[in-house]
Amino acid sequence: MEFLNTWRLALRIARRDALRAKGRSILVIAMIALPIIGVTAIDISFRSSQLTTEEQIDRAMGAADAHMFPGAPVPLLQDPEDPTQWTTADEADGETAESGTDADPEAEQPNDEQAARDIAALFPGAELVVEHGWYGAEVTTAGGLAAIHLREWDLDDPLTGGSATLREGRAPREQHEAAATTAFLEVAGLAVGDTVAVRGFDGEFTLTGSYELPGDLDTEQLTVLPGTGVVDTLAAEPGAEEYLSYARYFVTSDTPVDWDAVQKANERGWIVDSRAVRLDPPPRDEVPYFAAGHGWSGGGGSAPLGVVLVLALVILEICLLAGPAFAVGARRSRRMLGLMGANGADRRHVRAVMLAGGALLGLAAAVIGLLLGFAAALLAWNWLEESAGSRFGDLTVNPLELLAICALGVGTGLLAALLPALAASRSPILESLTGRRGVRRTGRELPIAGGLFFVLGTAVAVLGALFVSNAMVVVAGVVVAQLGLVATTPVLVGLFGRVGRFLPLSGRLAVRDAVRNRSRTAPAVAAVLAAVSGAVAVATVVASTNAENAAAYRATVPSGGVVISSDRPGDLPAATESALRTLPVTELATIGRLADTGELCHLLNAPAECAEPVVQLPAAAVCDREAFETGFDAARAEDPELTVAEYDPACVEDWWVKTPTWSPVSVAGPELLRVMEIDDPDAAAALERDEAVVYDERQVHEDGTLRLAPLTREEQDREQEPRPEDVAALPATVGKEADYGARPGEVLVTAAWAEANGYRVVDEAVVVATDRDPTDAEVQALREALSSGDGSPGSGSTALTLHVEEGHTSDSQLVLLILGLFATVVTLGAAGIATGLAQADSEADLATLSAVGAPPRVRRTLSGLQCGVIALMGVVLGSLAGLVPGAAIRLAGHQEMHELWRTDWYGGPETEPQLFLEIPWGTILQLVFVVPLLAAVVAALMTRSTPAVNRREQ
Amino acid sequence: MSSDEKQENGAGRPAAAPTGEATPAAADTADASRPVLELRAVSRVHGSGIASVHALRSMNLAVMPGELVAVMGPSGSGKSTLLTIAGGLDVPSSGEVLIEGTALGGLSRAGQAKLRRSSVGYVFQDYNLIPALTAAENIALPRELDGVSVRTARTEARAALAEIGLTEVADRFPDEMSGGQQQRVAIARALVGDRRLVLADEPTGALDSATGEAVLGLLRRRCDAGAAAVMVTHEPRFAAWADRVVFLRDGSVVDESSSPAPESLLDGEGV
Repeated sequence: MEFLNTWRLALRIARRDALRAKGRSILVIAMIALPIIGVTAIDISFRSSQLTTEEQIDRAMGAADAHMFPGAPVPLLQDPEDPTQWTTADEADGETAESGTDADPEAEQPNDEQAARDIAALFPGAELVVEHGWYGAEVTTAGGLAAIHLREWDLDDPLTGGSATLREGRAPREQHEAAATTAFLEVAGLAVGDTVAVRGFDGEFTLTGSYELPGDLDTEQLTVLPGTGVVDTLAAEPGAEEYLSYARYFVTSDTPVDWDAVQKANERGWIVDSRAVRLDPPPRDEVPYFAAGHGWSGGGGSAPLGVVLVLALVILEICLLAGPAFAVGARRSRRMLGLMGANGADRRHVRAVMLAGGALLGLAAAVIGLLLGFAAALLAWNWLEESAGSRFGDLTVNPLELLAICALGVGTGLLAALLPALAASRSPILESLTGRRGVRRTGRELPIAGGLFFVLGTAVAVLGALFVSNAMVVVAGVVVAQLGLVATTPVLVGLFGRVGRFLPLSGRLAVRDAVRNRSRTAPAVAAVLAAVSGAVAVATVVASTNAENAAAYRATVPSGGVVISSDRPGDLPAATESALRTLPVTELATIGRLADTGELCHLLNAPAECAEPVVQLPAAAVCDREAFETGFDAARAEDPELTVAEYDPACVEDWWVKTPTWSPVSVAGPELLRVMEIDDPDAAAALERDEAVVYDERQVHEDGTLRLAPLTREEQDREQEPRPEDVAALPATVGKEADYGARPGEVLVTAAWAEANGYRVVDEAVVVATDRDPTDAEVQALREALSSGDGSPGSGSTALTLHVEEGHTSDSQLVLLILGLFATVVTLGAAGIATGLAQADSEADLATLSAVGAPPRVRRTLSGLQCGVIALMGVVLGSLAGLVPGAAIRLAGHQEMHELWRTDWYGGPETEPQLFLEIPWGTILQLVFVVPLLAAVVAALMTRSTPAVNRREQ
Repeated sequence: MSSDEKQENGAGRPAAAPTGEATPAAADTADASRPVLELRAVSRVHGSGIASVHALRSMNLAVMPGELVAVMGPSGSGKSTLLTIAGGLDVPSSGEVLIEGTALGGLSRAGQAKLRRSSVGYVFQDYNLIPALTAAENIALPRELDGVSVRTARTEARAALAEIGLTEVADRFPDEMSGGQQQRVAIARALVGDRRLVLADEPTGALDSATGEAVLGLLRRRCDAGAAAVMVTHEPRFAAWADRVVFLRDGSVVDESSSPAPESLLDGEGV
């Protein structure tokens, strides 16, 4: 009861005090509310983005009862709730396919409509509905052609349900009508009412409406009515690639498709995504798929440690920032607290008043933060959906989570007020009443403990980086070290005070005032220290990573050069014309690829009977991959340092080499070497002689030749040896890579050689040399010309790609700038608050200064220097403190990469990783020189040069 | 109390009430023969060594129920130190302070705070009231701190306000009241509940003379009703309201007089 009375009284006083000091209250509320707004907005957005099972089903199959698809021609086991997870029954039993069934599980299940009807017949009262479609249909756009997904489906069919949402106009009702997704209309520059044509299909379609797929907003799709015959027509085209067509099988039924029915379909090799089963899944122990040891075994997820640590650091930062504001309040309310003491209030009463202030402001911040966070989530809703590429579900608010966020706000307020409350309650009543103030001696326990924590945390971070190679250990160590450093701030501030004697009067006063009143200086310096060290740590990581990326960057062509490539023959002449028109071109070189001379063999996806040239390696250069993988693993088990090159040079693969095109054999002349600025007279001479140039000497046979043989894909898959008479040998020269690390191709041969040896040359790319880096306007003009076309044949093709070599680029400068600004804002805030506190304390000193004849500007100078001194102490200590974790994190990353290089010979980096540690001098200099100066100027400008005539305090 | 009595008390010094004349209620709760406040050989030294200052030197003082004691003396004589030590806001270097028979030295900080809540009321020269609380809430403060229910504390506060004729300011905040009203509210707060010792440090220092008289009149009446009060003042005419005047110099009592006439006090100031 007494406790309640105390807190009721404390809350009343705190509420009225907060209302009386509105500026301070708003400041504290803003500081606490900002992260609450962010957390609330994230929580609501995240919860709303999580779809219910029903919503997920609606998006996947509309109003259908089931969606089924063939798995393998053998009995299957599937996950009832996630039908993409399945396995064959034999595999689950641990048997080979042959032992359980005669069918080959690797073989494709017949995907025809009749098979689907047979499966649908297993479900009582079911009706099969089939959707046909084509991926990559070329549809006319405002400026050319676009390859998009084409469906034959009736959007008016109730079965469409929640899988598509009409946004404008209406669904197609006639055979010559179509609807398109809003994403396609936007990209294609089309609108409802326009007409489109599908390449390979006669006739045009009028766009009657636009729609979106809630589950995939970015899909570029065109829907025509079933029976239009577009898919059949495209499939019948010469050279049509069958895998681009598809059929989706939906089932509607009077009775739900239950788990038994699904298992019957599984028996026949089909997988079923059933609405009824998803909504009411069978118990796990009744699912053979799970019984066979597949699938997720359950268990709750835990919040990543990193998130918790970051949250803890954010709360610490808020407390450090808001703490001095409460301390200002306590100082201003000193008389009131003294009066309370004179009237019988003991320490807990005074503490309660201060803590009640924290709780009230925290609660206000939490409520305001929740409301603004809610509003922010609603405002950002559409943007978030479009960024995520899918619509959210219904607005979902989890009251418990919001309550927890609210508690976080109140807790933060209480924590921020805790130290000022303890200090105020310990303050002698007499001192509070008389306004006397002595120099506060800070206890030694906290700084000593802080020093120990700092040493311990640093040791954990550095040792973790060196030996454990776990970033989380490093981060945990860094957090402990940071907390320790914050606790040692009073001592560090004391050390800073020693420079005071060398400063002029105002500076000396400011430094000594800061040092003598560490109880108010230390939290502000700690707040700056924490923010700056965090910013410097991240800046160190960003700058180092950027330096590493810059060193690792390999250009494809010289800086300013341009590569235009196309999957489709015939695109390049017009594209070359566009390049000549728009860029400062000095020279061009065309790169071709070798193709079979048969019909359609020039296409990228050539028919199976087309042959392509394959490099015939000398026997010593052939890697027996299977033997290598087992043998090398065993050899590395004994010698972990063993490299692939040491074990079997034939098996070394360079994944990282850059070439303008990807073909194994490229057709080019010596002009390509000039355009790519490769000074290699031997290679150029070889090409002049119509000989080959190779960039991997293992390809050259003992007689100095490169050997090529035409093989179809099927023959290659069978690893069939070519007939000796088909093998063409030509003298080969080993070429030099460009200084910037690129190769003009894997193997270069000339067009004359290709024609003489029965190959067709298909232009694949054009490399453009420029006399300077193209301007943005020039590049945009070229892009425009390539994407929208200019009416000439082949222009405006979506098959064209453009690469402009700009060298290494990154947005790290922007990141560093943002980090610097963040640290600046925190520093100004913390130093400003502490200066306000110092001013409240220093009125008597200032009056004395005025009395002894100090000019009015001393007031401003002192105020500015007080602010500047706090900012300077914080940024200097913070910058030094930030370099340690930054370096530790980089070291941990390097160790991890080094370990990967050492142990993962296949997926790891090709060469031994080097440690890149870049000190972000720009950010540090900005923080150390500019920010304290700015803080001092701002504080000086915001201070009156003459003492205010205050009315008597009441 | 009738309006006539109020007028009389406010206008001039009434005849000193016999020491120990307490109201029936006060008589019920206190022993009239025991001092409300007793200082036994109290000394207070600030600082140490060459910089030490003797604020009080072996001082003895007993204040009986119903007695109003005025403390006079030049600046630095130890008047305020006497009050702070008497209320437990400061600790004597030696000696003993007893309030209603309880030695302050034997109490913890919390115990001293509790004693202040239950037995001692302070009135300062100004800034007496907590700005965030209304007049009634200010008066109810010690009772609420003591764990009394808000309703009871407020009822007592309103009764106290009625007693001093200031019911109209009950819901006003301090900055909405005059200086005299604030001081009278402070005196009412100092005596709310069972508290019977008022320690007043120049309660009229910031007031004009008419208002000062009114405040003194109130204090006098509260003492006549059984409370005890120690009042530091520089003004002889205000000291004339006291039953006894104690003169301090350099921390020691140099003179003491009963029921003084103002003229004699004027003479005694130079003692």
